[in-house]
Amino acid sequence: MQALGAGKVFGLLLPERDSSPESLERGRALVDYLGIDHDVQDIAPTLAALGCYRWRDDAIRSVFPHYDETWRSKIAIAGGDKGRFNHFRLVVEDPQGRVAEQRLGLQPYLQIVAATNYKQRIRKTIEYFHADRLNYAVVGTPNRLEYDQGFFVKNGDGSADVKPIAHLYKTQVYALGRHLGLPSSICQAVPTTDTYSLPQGQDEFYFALPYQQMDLALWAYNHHLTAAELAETLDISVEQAQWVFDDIEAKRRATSYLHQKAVLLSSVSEV
Amino acid sequence: MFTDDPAALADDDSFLEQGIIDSTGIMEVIFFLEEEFGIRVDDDELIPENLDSVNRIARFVQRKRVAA
Amino acid sequence: MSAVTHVRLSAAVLEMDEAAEVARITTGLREALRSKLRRRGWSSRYPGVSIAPYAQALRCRP
Repeated sequence: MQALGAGKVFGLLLPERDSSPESLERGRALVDYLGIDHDVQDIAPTLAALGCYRWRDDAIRSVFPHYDETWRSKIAIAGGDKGRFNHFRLVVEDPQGRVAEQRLGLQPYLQIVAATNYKQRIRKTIEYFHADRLNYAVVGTPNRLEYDQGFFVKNGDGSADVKPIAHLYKTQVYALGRHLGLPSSICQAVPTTDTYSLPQGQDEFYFALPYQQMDLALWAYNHHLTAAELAETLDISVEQAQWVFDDIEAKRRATSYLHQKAVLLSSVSEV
Repeated sequence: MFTDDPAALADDDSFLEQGIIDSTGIMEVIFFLEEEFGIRVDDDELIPENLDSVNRIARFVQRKRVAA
Repeated sequence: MSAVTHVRLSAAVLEMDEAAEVARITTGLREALRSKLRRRGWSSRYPGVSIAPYAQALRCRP
């Protein structure tokens, strides 16, 4: 906004059925603070029409047959921080608040993720509609941790014309927010995926550690510090620190294709 | 593994170090082992010692089938 | 010792002149849009981006 002027930025608030109300409140606080034009569009009907919720719920029911839309759910990652293989667990909560959890098999895992990826992809479709309509560019806002570790949906939130803060560690993004005087509800927000109906921290879904520690680990890894030095800093064992380093490398490998353009079988050098 | 060349992967090669298996890949392996050999892989068995090479998997499956 | 390393590492991650970083992002963002302008014809609405040279060139054409 500072770079372009308030009259040249358009904000989109795109909640759906599982979005936390606080996300919308923080979005409104930001557009009000910036004084920019914006639009609020509930994308739940679009997602429902596409079958996003139905495909997801069918997959969940293949694991927990009694699950229905009155229950809440989320996916959690496990293993990588303990030197095991990363794997995913499905957590459900019935209306009485009883929680059950089970390791996800391949098929339901793929289907749940594919269905929920609709959310990021529909949002991006709407962003590009407005960008085309206004002759604007789409700005993506991954931080370094998300960008490096592939924490985004290809052709969803991972798509943008420019990503101005992708080089900044999350800690630095928060520092910039405070420097710019953004509303405190934003500066103090805990990062969540805001994609599943049960509350879910980013660290729980994807990263081995909370972001403050993950930033330190990534910085340490990028600057060739030893696992012993990281262990000392985070007050964890050297073994655990090595697992975190290994996990960073494993995620880079696993998600490198998310950064790739489509592969051509023969070069088209003219473009 | 996208190759017909058996020499491309030795039986003791680490899938992790070779970059062959990621978190989705390990789910495929587990799915295959459970279907093919009728075993149930427990959460605490998802460790490299059990699953991170052809030989390790073979020994793991053998142990599981003996125990079953 | 632990605390010292922690401070060193935390400080290194946070080592950032916020005002300079904002300036860098501002410039970078404008530059990104300007460089795209040549290809996609994004208009002169962005500060520091002008179509004047192009208009001048057009006027000079016979």
